[in-house]
Amino acid sequence: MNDTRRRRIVHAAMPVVLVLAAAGLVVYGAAFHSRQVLMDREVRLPDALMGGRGAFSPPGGFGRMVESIILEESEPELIREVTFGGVTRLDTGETKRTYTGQPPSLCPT
Amino acid sequence: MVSMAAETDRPSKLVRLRAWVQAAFLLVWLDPLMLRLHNVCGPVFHCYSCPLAAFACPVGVLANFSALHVFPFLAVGTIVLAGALFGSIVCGWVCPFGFLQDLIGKLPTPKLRLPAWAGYGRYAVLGAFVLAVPFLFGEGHPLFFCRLCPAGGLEGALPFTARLALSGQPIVWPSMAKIAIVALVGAAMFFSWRPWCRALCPLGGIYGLFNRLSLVRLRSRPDLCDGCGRCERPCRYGVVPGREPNDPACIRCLDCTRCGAIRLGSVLGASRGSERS
Repeated sequence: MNDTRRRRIVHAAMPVVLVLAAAGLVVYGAAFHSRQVLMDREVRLPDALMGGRGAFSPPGGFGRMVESIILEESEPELIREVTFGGVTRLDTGETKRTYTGQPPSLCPT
Repeated sequence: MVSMAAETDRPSKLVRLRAWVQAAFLLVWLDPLMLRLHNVCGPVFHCYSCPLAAFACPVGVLANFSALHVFPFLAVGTIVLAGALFGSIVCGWVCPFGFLQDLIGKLPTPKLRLPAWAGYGRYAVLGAFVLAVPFLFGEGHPLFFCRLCPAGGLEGALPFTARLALSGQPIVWPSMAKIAIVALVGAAMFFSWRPWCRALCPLGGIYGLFNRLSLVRLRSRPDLCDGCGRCERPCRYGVVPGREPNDPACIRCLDCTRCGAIRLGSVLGASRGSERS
């Protein structure tokens, strides 16, 4: 095989290899790649824990607390989150949701 | 053979359809069916804050994932797939922000040709504002790409501000930097051909790199070339198609194919011994 022919084959193979590699990235990203995301969730405490209904009733905060849970978010979900600034990186390196309840409708920028 | 090149002085049928193809793709990006597929990366530069955006912007996703220190497999895969298949045809025929600049460029104002080195600005924007600043300082930094992006300003921030003003709510103004960049890029569109694509677009910079590697390529036939410069004259981006048909600065508008010596082809197609691609 002469040099020109070999060069031509490499030239033709390069885009095919790139297309296959890109398809692999897309499939991996869409189907297999995920990230743990911390999320704050407001939970209502059982009345028994609060000493019975009405035993202790601070204004506006009766029987509620915020707990952090860890979600496993797929890459498509994470992409949706970043479109409205729904996740941020903490100093510890963890990813955290920036909102509780309904997501914001607009991107923060 | 020389006369064969001269016979095709008019743009080909395909080139005459370019504005229509761009308009058809614009409809896709503007999401007329209100699908809001913001968990899918589109291949073009179109802000997902736009009230009418069908897909997520790949540059916005790259910047945000860089801030999260997460590798964006989907965004990179989408960009490489589009680039490896078509190269910068995506810029010339598909991108809505490029289409906007083409439309404004049709206005009869004096046009300044940007120097060839201006194209390196695209890689500076990509490296600094899309990757480095978000990675080092997070998405809250004032130099985070989306905080500066003119497409975000035009497609997201301005419609949002206008909506607030029209509905009588207190107006939340975009940052001064964003307003200034939108004004500057907007003004530049009147006095240069595609100034954003030519000098600053990070996505265009990436697609430009794929021009020499993509499946679809421009081919130059030296045996048909008589050096008349017919391919070079219509090029608004400083490319010399006869010498380097797949230059990274090219947006593949295909205006140069009006000369028969430059043709759109595929790397898989049969090539003649003397062809350059």
